[in-house]
Amino acid sequence: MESQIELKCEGMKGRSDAQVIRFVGDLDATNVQTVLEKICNLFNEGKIHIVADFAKLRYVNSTGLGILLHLSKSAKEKAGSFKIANVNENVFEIVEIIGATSLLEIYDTVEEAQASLN
Amino acid sequence: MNDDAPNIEITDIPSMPEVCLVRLNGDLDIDSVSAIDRCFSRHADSTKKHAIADMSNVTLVASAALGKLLGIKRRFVERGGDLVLAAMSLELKMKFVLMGANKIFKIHNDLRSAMNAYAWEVKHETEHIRLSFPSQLAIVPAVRNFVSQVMLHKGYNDRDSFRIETIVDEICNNAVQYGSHEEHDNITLRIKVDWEKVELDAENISDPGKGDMLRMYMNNMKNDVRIHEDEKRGRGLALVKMLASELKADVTDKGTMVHVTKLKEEQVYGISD
Repeated sequence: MESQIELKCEGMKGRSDAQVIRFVGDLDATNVQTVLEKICNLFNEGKIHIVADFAKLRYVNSTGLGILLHLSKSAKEKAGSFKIANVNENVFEIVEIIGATSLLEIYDTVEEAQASLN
Repeated sequence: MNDDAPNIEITDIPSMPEVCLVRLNGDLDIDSVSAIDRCFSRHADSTKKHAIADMSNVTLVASAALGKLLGIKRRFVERGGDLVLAAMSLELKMKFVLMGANKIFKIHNDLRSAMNAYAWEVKHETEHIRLSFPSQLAIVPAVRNFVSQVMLHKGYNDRDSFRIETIVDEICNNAVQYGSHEEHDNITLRIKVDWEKVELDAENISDPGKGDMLRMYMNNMKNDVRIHEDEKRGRGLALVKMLASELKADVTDKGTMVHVTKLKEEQVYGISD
């Protein structure tokens, strides 16, 4: 049985090209493909700026991080962005160890991430 | 049962010579106090440093008896052990909570839990767990969650439990990725957990050709685990190396054994209990 992850998408006021996605659950090798497809579909719909809210993302492993980096790169290639906010302490340690803090745009809050789009 | 103390019986536990089992019965009221004291003095000699009280047949504990048990507890604590209570009825447990006695006495749900806790907390014994599961990614989350819960239960803090969960996830994913997927070629995870460290062994049956890939990866793995933007996977064992105190991999034609040791956080920073 794959890990449970739920992606809750919300629009951003005044920005038709942006979405806030709230991650709920665990991101790992069993569900990265589902996450990848869902966000790539948003890119294809023209939602090229993504703010990922990790407040309720309990867990991420190396495969999950690989997908986040891939999404970040894909967004940049489309002149968009993939920003992350509200990363919990445990997850942040994994991101830091693997050296992804310099590759991902990480913010303390969703509001800060949204403000950086303007 | 002792003739002079009808409410109390003290026996040995063969597998734990330094522990005695105290069976208490009925109403422990003011009339029981001197009998309890006499029985403890006579049967729980100085070779016993720990006592487990079976409360399953106790219907009432008066404050005088509670005070006596507290005094006896103190004697055991001075010997480096404790007097713990087990198998109380829910009603009695509620009374203990109301009196605040649950903050003084350790209360275990049953005798087995009390004995296991003694082996773990006082004797610092090692526990072994062996899991065998099919080589499928979908099973790994349940395995890592189980190990994480074991670590929390064993007194490892939230951060350590999370790190160990990550290690288990990565070494099991690795075992699936590089192992055989034949029906009976299960992955075996052995967990050896004690007071200061956990040791993990993940073993798989080799899939021809994949063992060489893993051997090359292990040989090339450097301390720098930094991921690259165009890299979707392949950093799992490098992450394990950074989280663990020791990582070893033995790749043979038959299979792969990844061995990880992770010290408890207090041990890493030199803080002892």
